[in-house]
Amino acid sequence: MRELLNLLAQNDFIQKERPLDTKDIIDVQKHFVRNELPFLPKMFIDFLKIYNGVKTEGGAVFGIFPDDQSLDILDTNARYNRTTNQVILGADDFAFLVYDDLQKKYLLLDRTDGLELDDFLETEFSSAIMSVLHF
Amino acid sequence: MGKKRHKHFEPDMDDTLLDLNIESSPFLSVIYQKKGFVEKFHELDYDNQIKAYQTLVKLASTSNTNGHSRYDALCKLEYIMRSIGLHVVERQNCSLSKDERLIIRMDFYGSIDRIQAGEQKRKLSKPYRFLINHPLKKRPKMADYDFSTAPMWPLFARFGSFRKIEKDLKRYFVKNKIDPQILSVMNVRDFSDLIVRTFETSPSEMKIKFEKPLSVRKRFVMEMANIYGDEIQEILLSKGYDSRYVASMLNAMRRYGATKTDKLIITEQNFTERALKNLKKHKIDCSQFHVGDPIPQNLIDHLIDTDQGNLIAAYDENGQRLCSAQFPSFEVHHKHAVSNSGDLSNIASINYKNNLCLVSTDMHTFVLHGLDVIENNQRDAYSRRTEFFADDVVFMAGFEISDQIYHPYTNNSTYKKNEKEDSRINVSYEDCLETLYQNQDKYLLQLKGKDPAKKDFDVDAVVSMVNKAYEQQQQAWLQQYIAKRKGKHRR
Repeated sequence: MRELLNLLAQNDFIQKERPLDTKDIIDVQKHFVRNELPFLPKMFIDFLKIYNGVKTEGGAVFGIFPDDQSLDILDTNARYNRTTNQVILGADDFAFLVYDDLQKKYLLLDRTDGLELDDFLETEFSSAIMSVLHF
Repeated sequence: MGKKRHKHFEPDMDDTLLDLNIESSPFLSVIYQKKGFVEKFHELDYDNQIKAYQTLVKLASTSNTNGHSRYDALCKLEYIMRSIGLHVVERQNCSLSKDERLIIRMDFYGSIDRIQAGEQKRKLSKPYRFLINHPLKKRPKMADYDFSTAPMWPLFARFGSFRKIEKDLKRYFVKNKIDPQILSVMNVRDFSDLIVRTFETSPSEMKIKFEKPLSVRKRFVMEMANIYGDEIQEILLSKGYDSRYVASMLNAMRRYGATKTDKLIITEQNFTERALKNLKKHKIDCSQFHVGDPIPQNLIDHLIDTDQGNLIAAYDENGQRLCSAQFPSFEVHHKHAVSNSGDLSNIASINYKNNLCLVSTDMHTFVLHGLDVIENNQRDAYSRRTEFFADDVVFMAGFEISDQIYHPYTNNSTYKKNEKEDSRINVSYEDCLETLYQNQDKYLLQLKGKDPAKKDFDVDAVVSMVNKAYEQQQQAWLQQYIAKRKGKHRR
C-alpha cells in the first residue's frame, strides 16, 4: 500500500480528503451491520486513515463522512447497493469497486449489469483501488 | 454568487422529515400533487428539483413502499424524465464479454493498470509468462512479428488507439528478443501487460499511459469547451454561478481537459487591488494595468502554469476566497451503456464523441446513473438505464431542456472516417477465444515435449496428491475414533 499512498501523495491533481476520524469508524461499521452490509475491510479502513476519500478525473474512492459529500460511502451504498455480501468502495463511469465478504475479494463490477470485470485478492488492495482511479 | 455544492439528501421518513411541509420544502409539492406536477417541478429551483427527483427515485424503488405510491412515483418520474428528453430503457444483460469491456475501458481512459507480480499467475497465460521471460538468443526482425497470427489482437485492433501502437509493441519484442510465436498464445490480459511493458517509464509505475498525448475523455472535454464555451458559459451563468468560477472552469476544460473543481484555482477576471499588490510583491510587471482592467488570458495561463495562480485568486464580497469545491464538477458520461454495446456493428464507436456527454456531477449521479444498482444474481435480470431520446446531446447541466447542448457528431467527416476504418475489422469474440485456446494447448504440449523435467514434475499434481492422501488419512483416523467411542459406550 505504501507505493499507492506515495503515488497519490505526489499527484497534485488528485482530490484527497483529510484522514478519517477514527471515532467515526465504529458508527459506520454499526450502520453497515444494521443495513445488513458487511464490515469494511481492514486494509480499506487503514487507507481511509490516510485519505478519507479520493477523487480523480472520472473516478473515486469513497470515504466515511468526508467533506465532499459526493464521496460519502454511506450515501453511495444506500443508493446503489442491494446486496448483503458486498460493499461499494469506489466507482468510475463504467464500474463499481466492491468488497465481497463471501469471496473475501475486491471485485470490479460493471455498473449496468454487474458483470465481474476484474478481481483482486485481499492482498492486492492497491491494484483494486487503482482500478477506479484515472489520471 | 457562489452556490453550495448540492448536499446529498437522504429521503428517509425520520422525525425531521415528518415536520416538513410544502412551504418549507417546496419539492414536496411534486410528490403530493396529482396533476400539474411536471410544471411544478420546472418551477422549482435546482436544489429542490434534485430533492424531488431523489425522493421519487427512492419511492419508486423502495420495497417497503406501498404499491400505490410506488406506482405513482414511477409514473411521475417517467413524465418528468420525458419533459427533459430522458427515458428509462430496459435491456437484457450479457451482450458483451468481460475482455471486450476491459478493452473499451483501456481505450477510453488511455491508460492501463500494471498487473502486479502477485496477480500475474492468475491473470496472465502460462505460455505468455514463459515466453516473455525466456528471450531468444538471436534477435528476430520486425517482420517476424505478424499480428494477424494473434487470435486476440483483432479485438484491440478494432480501436484506432491500439492500431496506432502496433509498431511500438513490435519494437518491444525485437528489443527484448521475444519469440515471435508469443503472439499466437496471448490473451487480452497478456496484451495489456505487453502494452504496460512497452510504455512504462519506470518499473514501479502502477498506471501506464499509452495514448499520447491525450485520452479520449480529455480530448472530448477540451473539444466541448472549445466549440461550446460560450453556450456552456451562458447555461452556467443562468444557473447563478459566479462568473469567475465559470471562466476558470472553462479555461481548465479547454487547456487540460479537466472536469473536477477541487483543485481548480478560481481567478479574478479583472485586476483588483489585492491582485495588483500580490503581483507587484512577486515582481511580476503589471504597471500598465489598473484596477478593473481585464486580466489578459495569457497572464492568467502563465500564472497557473507556474503555480502562481493564487496571486490572482478570486475573493467574494466578504473577503473570503472563493472555494472551488463548492461549485459543480463535471463527468463524461457514456450515453449508450458499454455493457449493451455487443449489438453494435462497430464496437469502437462506444467511445466515439457522439456517444459521450459532458454532465454536471449531480445530474450524472442522481439522474443518469440514478437507476444503477448492484444486486445478488443480477446477471439473470434485465438492466434499467436512463438514456436520452436525442442522440446528439453533448452537454447537460440541469433539468431544463435549455440546460442541454446538441452537436451532430455523426455528420462530422472525422466521425465518418473513423467509422469506416474501425468497421473494417469484424470479428467474433468466441471465434477468437477458440483459436487462442487451441494455440495455447498446442504450445503447452510443445513446451512439455521440449522440457523433460516438466514431464516428470508437475507441482500442482504433487500438491493435489499430497492433499488427497492427507484427507484419506484424516478420514481413517476419524473412523477409528468413532469406532473406539462406540465400543466404549457398548461396554
